[in-house]
Amino acid sequence: MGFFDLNVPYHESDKQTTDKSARKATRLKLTVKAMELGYTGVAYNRTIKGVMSESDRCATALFSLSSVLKTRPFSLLRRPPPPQSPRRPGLRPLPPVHSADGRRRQLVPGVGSQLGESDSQDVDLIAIDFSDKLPFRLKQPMVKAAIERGVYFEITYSGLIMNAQVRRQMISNAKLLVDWTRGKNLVFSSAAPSVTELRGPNDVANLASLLGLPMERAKAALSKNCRSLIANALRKKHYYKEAIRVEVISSGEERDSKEPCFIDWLKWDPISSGEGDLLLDDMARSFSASAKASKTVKPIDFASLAYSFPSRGLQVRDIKSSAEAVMQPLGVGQDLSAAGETVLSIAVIGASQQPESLGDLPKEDQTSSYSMPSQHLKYSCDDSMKSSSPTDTLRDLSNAEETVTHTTNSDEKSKNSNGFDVYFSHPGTEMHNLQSQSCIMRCNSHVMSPGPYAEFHTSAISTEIAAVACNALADAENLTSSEDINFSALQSEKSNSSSGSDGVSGTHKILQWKKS
Amino acid sequence: MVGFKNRYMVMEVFLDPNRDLLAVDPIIITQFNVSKAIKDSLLENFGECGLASSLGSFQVKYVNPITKLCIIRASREEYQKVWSATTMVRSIGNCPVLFNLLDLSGSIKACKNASLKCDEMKFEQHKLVVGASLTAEVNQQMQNCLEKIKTLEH
Repeated sequence: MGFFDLNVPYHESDKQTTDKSARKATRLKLTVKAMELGYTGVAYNRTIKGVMSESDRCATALFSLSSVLKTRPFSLLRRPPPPQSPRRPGLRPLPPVHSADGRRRQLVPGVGSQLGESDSQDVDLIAIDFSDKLPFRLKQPMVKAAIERGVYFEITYSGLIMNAQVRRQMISNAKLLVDWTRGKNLVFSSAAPSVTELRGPNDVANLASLLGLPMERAKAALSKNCRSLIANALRKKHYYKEAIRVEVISSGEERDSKEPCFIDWLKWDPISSGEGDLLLDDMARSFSASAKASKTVKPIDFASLAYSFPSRGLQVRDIKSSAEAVMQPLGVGQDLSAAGETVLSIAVIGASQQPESLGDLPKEDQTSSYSMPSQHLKYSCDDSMKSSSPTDTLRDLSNAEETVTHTTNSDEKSKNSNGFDVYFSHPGTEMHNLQSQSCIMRCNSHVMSPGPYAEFHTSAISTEIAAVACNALADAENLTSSEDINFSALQSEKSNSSSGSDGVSGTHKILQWKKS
Repeated sequence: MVGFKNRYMVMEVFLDPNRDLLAVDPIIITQFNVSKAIKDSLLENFGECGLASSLGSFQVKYVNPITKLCIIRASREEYQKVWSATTMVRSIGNCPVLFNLLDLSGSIKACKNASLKCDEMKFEQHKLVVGASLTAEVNQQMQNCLEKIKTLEH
């Protein structure tokens, strides 16, 4: 599970132009340092006073990879680099009473009662400045009401580090909040004015224990809560009735190449900001290009030596290319029930031995609520994906797979693998006529009547790496291309001639991570 | 039965995080000055009693000035205090510093393994940064330090 720092100050750049570059440099340094320390994501904090307008929408420029690299050569001692997510543009402006910024609400005097108000549409995060005596009293029923509405509270830790006076105030003020929330709906972040006030995620979790939080809750406050905060905020903005997301698919796409769609969907991470993500393989490529010494340092993942590999920064492509694709025998007694929702399981295993790394995979559900997959390797694909691809045939599917493979292969070449066996093999072979493997596959060979969706049923084994390979069977011969996936067993799936689209199936690989 | 347990923390130090990459290290860290900084921080944050109760088992066992790695030992009861105190250390001497925990273990053996790996990786990174001006004596020093890790005992 990745760690996030949701408060990296971003100073308005239009105020004093002389300072602009210095501030930008500070911000860059902060981001780079956060990366080095092990955070997987940062969010810039813009403060806007008064009424917000549309023009205040988030327009933070993200740092390009080269500028990040210039600061120091990375040997990727630790985790993969974080995606930079500027403030979510969709987050609502706040009522004009408060000095507020897009996402959070600074409470000003007299506003304590407003905690109980039902402005639940607007507020995602409440950040209280604890470093001075609070002008109002925090009351427990209000805190409780806010939590029930789904509002998160934020505590910044740079005050603890800066000086003794601030420390004193902050601990005594924040302790109340911590006691009442017991870590639920709490988010820690730094409001670090400079690099010296930044601290690594484990250290921050330990500082939180000073405030009275047990270690496990503290770590969750740094990782899980942040993620769900952003995911919830996004959900409110972009999803109709919080469940359905409608995307525009350009009509110019040829039917045959499903590749862009699938890859995009595969890569989709709900809190990713799109182009800003620094991908692990990009970094590796840049290193090898710019390394002065003849030897390139392997992107050794320090974390893999420890336990987990927060793979937030890794997109699905990377994960695929770095994992070992070995088929696992799946339980034969798997259930085929189609619960009326199409379920597509993608098993992608990051290097880690913990399934949490899969938390990054896209998951869209038509009916179920939006939640990040935690331990289970089961993801459902949005139905809209299917409907958008007309008459997909398996051929398209396999094309998609093929393209996906190629992409990943090229990625992996540029990257030294960190002790994972990259198991990608090429077009060819074993993945062929699934019909021949009928003993293994429990597939229904009949073709489903063309419905809007292809239904892939898979069940994931939660403890193992589940792989779900969904392969439409109907045109098995079309599957000749693509990857070599060794199926030792297969999940059942039904083929659908019309919309093999859930091509997301491009990534069904049954992967097994190597136990190092 | 051993009732008395320790915790070994492997931490890395970032000296003057604001400076440019290629500048020379402003100070050399040694066991002494790291230990002093942490004790001062303990005194400031946890008071006399806090310092006194942690002092029993507290020791900076190993410091590598090239890769800025240190191993700190603390008792199991007090290690969180010591850890928080090191996190809150702002400077060693005149130089602002940043501590970051890499590994926490309960036995010296696990700690040795972890720190060997960390040290090697950090040395690789150091070589990348330094580039061509790597001298033989730095290498030698590094080897000595690695040997020292292997001979650490509780």
